[in-house]
Amino acid sequence: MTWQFAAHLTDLPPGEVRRVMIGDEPVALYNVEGEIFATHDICTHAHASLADGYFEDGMIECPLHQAVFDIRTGRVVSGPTSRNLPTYAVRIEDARVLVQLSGPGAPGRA
Amino acid sequence: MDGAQQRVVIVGAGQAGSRTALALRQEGWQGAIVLIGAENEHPYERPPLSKDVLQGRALPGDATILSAEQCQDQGIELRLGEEVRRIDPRARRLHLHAGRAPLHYDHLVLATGSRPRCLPLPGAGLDGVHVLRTAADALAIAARLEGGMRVVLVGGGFIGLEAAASARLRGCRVTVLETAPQLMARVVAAPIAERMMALHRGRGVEIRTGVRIDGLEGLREVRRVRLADGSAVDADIVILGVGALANDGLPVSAGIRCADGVIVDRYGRTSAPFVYAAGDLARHEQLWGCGNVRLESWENAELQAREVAGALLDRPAPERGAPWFWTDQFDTNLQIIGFGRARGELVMRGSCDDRSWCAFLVSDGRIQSAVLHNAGRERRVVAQLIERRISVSARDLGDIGRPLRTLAAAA
Repeated sequence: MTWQFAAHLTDLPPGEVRRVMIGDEPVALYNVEGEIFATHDICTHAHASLADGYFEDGMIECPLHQAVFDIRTGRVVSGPTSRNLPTYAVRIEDARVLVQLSGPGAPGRA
Repeated sequence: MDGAQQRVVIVGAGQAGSRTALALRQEGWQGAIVLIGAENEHPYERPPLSKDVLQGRALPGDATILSAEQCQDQGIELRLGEEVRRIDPRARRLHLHAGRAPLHYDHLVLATGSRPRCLPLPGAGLDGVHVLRTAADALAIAARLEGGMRVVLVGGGFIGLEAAASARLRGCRVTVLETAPQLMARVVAAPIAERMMALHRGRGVEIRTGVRIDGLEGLREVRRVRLADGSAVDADIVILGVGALANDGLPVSAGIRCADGVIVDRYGRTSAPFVYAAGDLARHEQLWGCGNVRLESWENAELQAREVAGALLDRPAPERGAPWFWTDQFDTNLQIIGFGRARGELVMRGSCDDRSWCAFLVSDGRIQSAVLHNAGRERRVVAQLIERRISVSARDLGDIGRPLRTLAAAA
């Protein structure tokens, strides 16, 4: 259970989504009114970066085919997939965003 | 509620039929749901067939819509490989194949989809001539796509071009033959079709538009496609992608109003009481300002499933926005919002030579339809501009320094 550095909090304005690489893992970071969430960045439907998608009200929409996920739970809200999106635990320390890639919510458990 | 005693029977277990079953449960339908499918596979998504499945990167079962487990959880009785012979709308009964008792319904949803149009060409029955509609079709083609194979696509629409890209990605020698002067003539304006043609040519696909095909030649297996100008294109595999026809045999014989598709209102209701239709099979009396349209799209199947479920439960679904289509060819994702052949002035946002751009058809200061080329991120805001009929100037639309959301917000 290791916490890994993902981004500086100041690089994540509210309402924005950003893609970062943690090791080999593409991760999408979201700022929902000051609270940070992390999911896997690749849509479970087709190979697309969700960080290129449309982000609003805690939902991310894939830019390719409109799959919509709730970024807090990773659950599919609508769209051409029934596979949920892996989510990761997030912790803020000294304005640094830390993400835990293993553990509950990690890929394979979603 | 007496709904708990009632039975919905859905004929057709593709996208529209299976999603209707799921939507009914989601909306709280308490009664029985019987879903009848002609194919033997569990309901699956069709979009991957021409892409991931042909490219050998996925199997149809990877995109299952309704697994055995889901059927159990949701209380959906799925009958696969079953044929419906006749509908009796007066008695509200379905006649199945010989030896099976007729099936009573309280509500009937028809979702039998469409089938590929076949060309009345000499040689169309030769081995190696394929259509692409079902999982079985896709697997049969995928098994033959090896490096060096000569693949000829008859028809330069979505299916033909997606299959062309997939075959090319597998190292085949690929030719697309299109009768019309441009590709995708039903769905996009000429300059956009030209851009897509350049994409394919740049990747080594040969494309010939404005050709007439005289026939397919070969003894047992297809060997070449003969054109009206006397020339021929050698072929090991020919894929026909020349449109589709509604599978409306059942409703036609039952006296339900049809015209290449079952005619439906915005709730999916047909001319017969208690009978609905959804998906490729349905012909909309009215849709997004257009009369008499049949849409063969993933989104239409998805939305109509919800509309029918809502109508059945007396809980009408919200009115639809502009129709949405997508196609993936090589690494390009093309999305169309609205009807791509609407009238209007073509306004470009970004250059056609860029990876990402948008094109709008504008008339009376309003966007009639839009094409997003690797620009799905703009879909929401573009749909908003179109659906709310927001007044825009060609100059603002074309100004990439000006975010589209500011145009929506300014209105």
